[in-house]
Amino acid sequence: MGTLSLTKAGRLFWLGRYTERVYTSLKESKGIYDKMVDGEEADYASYCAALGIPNDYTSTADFCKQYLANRSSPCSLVSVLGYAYDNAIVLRETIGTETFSYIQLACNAMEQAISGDYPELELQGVLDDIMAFRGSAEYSLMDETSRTILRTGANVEYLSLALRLKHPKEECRAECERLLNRLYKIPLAADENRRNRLIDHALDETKPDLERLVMLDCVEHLFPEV
Amino acid sequence: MERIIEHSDRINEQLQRYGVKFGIYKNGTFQERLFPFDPIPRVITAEEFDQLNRGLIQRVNALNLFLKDVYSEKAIIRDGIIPEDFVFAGSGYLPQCEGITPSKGIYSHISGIDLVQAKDGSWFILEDNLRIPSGASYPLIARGLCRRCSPATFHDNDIVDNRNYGELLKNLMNHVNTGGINVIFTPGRYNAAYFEHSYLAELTGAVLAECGDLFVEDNTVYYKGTGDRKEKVGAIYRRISDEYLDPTAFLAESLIGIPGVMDAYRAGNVALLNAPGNGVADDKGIYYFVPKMIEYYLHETPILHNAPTYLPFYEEDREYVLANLEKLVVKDVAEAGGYGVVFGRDLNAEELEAFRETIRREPRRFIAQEVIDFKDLPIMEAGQQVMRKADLRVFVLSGEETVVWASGLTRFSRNPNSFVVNSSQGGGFKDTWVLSR
Repeated sequence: MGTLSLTKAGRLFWLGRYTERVYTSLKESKGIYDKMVDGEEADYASYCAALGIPNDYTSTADFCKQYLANRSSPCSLVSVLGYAYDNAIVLRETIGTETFSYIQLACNAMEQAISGDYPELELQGVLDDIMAFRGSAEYSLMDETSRTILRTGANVEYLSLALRLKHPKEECRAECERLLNRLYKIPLAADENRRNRLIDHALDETKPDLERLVMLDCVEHLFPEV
Repeated sequence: MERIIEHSDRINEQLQRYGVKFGIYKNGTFQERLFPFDPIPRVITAEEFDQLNRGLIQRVNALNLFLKDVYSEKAIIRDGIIPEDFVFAGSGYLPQCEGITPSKGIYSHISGIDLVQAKDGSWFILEDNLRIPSGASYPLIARGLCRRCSPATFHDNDIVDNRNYGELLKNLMNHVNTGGINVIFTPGRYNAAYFEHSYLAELTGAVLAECGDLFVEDNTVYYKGTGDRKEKVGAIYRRISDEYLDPTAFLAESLIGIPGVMDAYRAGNVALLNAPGNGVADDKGIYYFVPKMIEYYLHETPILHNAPTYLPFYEEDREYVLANLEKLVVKDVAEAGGYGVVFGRDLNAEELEAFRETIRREPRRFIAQEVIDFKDLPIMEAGQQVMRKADLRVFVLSGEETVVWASGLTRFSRNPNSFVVNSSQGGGFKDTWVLSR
């Protein structure tokens, strides 16, 4: 492929972000789900606060159900996977029918998951299909630029979640470095000021701790066009 | 055949997996639906296909000559073969296309010809679709999936491989391309045939573009990239209607077109597939005259026949239609997609009389046809084979030469009492096998 329109670049970027959000959120919320299986209450309120999503839940069990399956909430994972699908369906000619099909399979697995009370096995299917999607995109997408935009979206999302959920600073720095290295390979313009601040934070290992909120702002607003 | 029926569920799972859907608006909301697929194919023998092949090439070549004539010399009108009123009064004729010669002189690049087979085996042309006929992608993807689910079926039967449609389309686009990239231009995801647009873009390697992705500068069309990047466009397989194509030439309020594309087209700087203005040749009223076109332009006898058709515009035909309305099917020439089709037998006495009055008042608006007792095809329903009405859309591609794709979209009615096979009205589809011997 030669020229890529801004619309398509934006869709690839968000496809990468949404699939990563579903994948990482499922993994991150597993501890809460574990407690629910044991009939215990978990601290889902802190999880919601860290992600900046409204805590409309009445119990751990309610959180496990609604965070996964509430279609009227834009924050639920079924909705987020739906947004991934909405981007994938309009990228068929770019990512290919085969690669697209893994998003469809993930949606099918999610539908099965939300129809049950203890859907761990079905959710494993969602994770598997997202991984298969990534692998398929990696190996069958002929266009390096498209691949890199997709990866960049996933990169941004992972870093955003890692910063919010207070992953170790080394991990955040490594992810940030990966993101910065990709900026030169994609046709999306990065905000120069934010990029420079990210460079300062990611590469300066003398700083004792991360200024997470500053970094989060830089990551979330790094690409003003999309 | 039994083998493929056994694999019916697997095939449908695969169709679902690959997102083989069509869009529909129901109560004002957009829904994506799986296009119901029936595993029992329509089978066309090599001899039958040979006749269809020759007849369809003949028909499409005549239609292309008609389009060229209508937008230039108008000899067929001057010579009294087709009344002027039928050509210029219909909404399909676009004065904006007068005098334009498209790249390589081709107007209808992708023609979808609808046929039905009567119980005696003879084929009848039901209508010509020369604007933006859709449907090829469905049997195309279904074939690949059927082969995957039941390879033995394809090993044991001599079936012509239909998976070359993308290649045929790509070659066609390259043939008319004026220099630049090939683009498939879609109105977007909420179009009923969006699956087809994106799938054909994938198969042909064309760029799938939407409103805002293309712009015209100095009578040249460009694809807009990120930043200042742009790429010249040489051929556009546009999947939007004429009226929305260019707001500077047609409907000014169109927000989904490419402003100025008609100027670029007129200047010969881009090929448009199919050419704007083709509606003048696939109007249901013009259909009546296609056999005459074949005789006029090609000096040949038509190989394939129209369904027996009457034009209420002509007094003699009108009298017949009014006298026999209860046994005819009447079609509004301005409608498509199975809409505007009235079976006289479904009307009560009062409705018949009211309809007669409408025909008297607006004779040019309708055509009437004898109801062909067409061959039913078996479909699977709840594990049983039942017989249903079906038609066939064959795709004819006109590029360096005119070729008939050895397959087609067989649509069937799921309603046992209905002749209407359109997907928008609940119909399903089958693969169409052409046997190699």
